[in-house]
Amino acid sequence: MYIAPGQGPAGKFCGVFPRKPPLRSVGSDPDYRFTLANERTFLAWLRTGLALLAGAIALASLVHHFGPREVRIGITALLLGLSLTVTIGAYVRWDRTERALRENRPLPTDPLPRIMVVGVAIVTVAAGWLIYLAELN
Amino acid sequence: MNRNRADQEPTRLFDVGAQAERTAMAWQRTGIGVMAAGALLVRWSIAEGFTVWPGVALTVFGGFLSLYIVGQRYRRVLKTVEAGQTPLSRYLIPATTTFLVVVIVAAAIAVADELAHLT
Repeated sequence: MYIAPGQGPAGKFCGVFPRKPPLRSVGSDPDYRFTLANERTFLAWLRTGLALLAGAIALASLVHHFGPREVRIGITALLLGLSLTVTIGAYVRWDRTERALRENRPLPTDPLPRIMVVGVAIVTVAAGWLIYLAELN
Repeated sequence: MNRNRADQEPTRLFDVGAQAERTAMAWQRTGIGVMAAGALLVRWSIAEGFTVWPGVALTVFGGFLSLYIVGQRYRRVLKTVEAGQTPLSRYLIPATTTFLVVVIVAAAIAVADELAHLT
């Protein structure tokens, strides 16, 4: 079944980005173990996003009257932003890696680990600051 | 006379390296994560008094993912690998991503909404 470029699932998803040819039409099938490893990595990043989301919901719903509200809101927003970035990034990483596998190219660099480290470090510092401000009163 | 099939065929290895099983279990772990986030969402909706159905829907979807899609993915991977084709998932991965993005955006809106009402 021929699928015109931009009509595949990847094309439908990336609305504002230049339409890439659908995944299956690119290159040739790699060793299936690489494809599955790629899928498992994608799922691992999704779980990371879910954990960040759970952290944001927990902070918004379980923590009341603990330090200034603005700081709590800021941390919640940061966690939600990280969660969204990681979830979308997980898909982009999966798509780019699968294309590189199919075209037998070196794997593209992945900015997600760096984003995670910087984001979680900021959240940790902000949480420490929140605790400090809470303990002041 | 009526020999057992196992005696006639040499033993066949399937799911070498447990690749299909590992992938299915990764989906399982993700499904459990979705359920956990859904449970938190339900708890939050009950505590704040807003509608409980998005959280319940999320938890149910996580459960569905764990129970149904995991087994399906396992069998599909086994089948496609045996047929010598790639087990590349066409719709599952983009669909899962879209769903979770919607969930996160909805949670962000809910948080913003609740904070606006508190002021």
